[in-house]
Amino acid sequence: MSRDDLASFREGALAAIPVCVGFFAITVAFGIAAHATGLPAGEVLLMSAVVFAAPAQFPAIELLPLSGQAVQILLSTLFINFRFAVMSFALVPHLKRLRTGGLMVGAQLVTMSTFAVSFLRFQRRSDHDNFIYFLGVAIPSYACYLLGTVVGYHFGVRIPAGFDEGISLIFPAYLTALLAAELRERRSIVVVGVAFLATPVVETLVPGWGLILNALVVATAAIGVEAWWESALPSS
Amino acid sequence: MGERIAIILGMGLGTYLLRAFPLLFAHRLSLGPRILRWFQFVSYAVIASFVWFGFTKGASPAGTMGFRVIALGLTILVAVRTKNALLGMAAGIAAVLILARVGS
Repeated sequence: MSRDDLASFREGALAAIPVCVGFFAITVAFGIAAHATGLPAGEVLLMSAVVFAAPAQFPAIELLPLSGQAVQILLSTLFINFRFAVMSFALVPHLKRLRTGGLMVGAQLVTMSTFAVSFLRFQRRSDHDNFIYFLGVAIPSYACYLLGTVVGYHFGVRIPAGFDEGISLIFPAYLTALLAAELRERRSIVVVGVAFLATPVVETLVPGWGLILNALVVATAAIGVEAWWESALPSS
Repeated sequence: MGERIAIILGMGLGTYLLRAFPLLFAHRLSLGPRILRWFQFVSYAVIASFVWFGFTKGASPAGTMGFRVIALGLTILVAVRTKNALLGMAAGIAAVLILARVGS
């Protein structure tokens, strides 16, 4: 790894600190919940390692101890995690010219958090070091995710009362701050504002799909408006 | 025990394919500027929706929601003023912790 690569990795790792704190808190809760269901430690850690997506893991640990739930668990996992396909698509323009082996490893580390932090940096500065930066965000986050699972399962450490409200807001507050600090282009600001306000409406209309469906509808509408706007402007 | 491990590995494989397929194959497609722009808008919209879910999850309209709205406003204000995302986040979290303590 060259000195430039190391600097990019370090930059990503620093940006991942809030993600690590959030992941640790979430997976401690997951470890505690998994321990309570009676699942063995190895299976719980295996789930965190191969799935790496808490929203799909919480329902799964409730169903796993019951028999005959395989199809339900697998289908719900696919539906809940469908958002990763959209995120990976969005990362493609920024991760070109990479070897297949690197992409295969990197793919496992795409989550809402690692995607969002990396994507916002790529909007500010997209370079040949994008993948190293992404790994700098994702590898420490993954380590915190696994560590939190182990700590929660074995030690049952609970977040002190009064702090859970703040910890649950770390990642949304970090993303809000990143958007506020980085976003300059007016049209993108409008997209962010409309998507934020439209989420509860879409979530009410199609429960469980507010995140992805809302994003697809708002982005498509924005592209349509932008195309119309540009065609309506007199050509110079 | 064997069945549970098979289910867990199936969960992992399904999730991995969702993550990997676009990364491994979509780069071979020639994406026009309009498609790239659409992906950019989708990404911003996904992040904005996630923020909405994060800020509203577990909050009651009469109680902590008000604190969270104030925290969200303060986060944006500090981040825009300082151009520092970590400082913005810290201001928002500190605000919600203080308000929750004062309000309880």
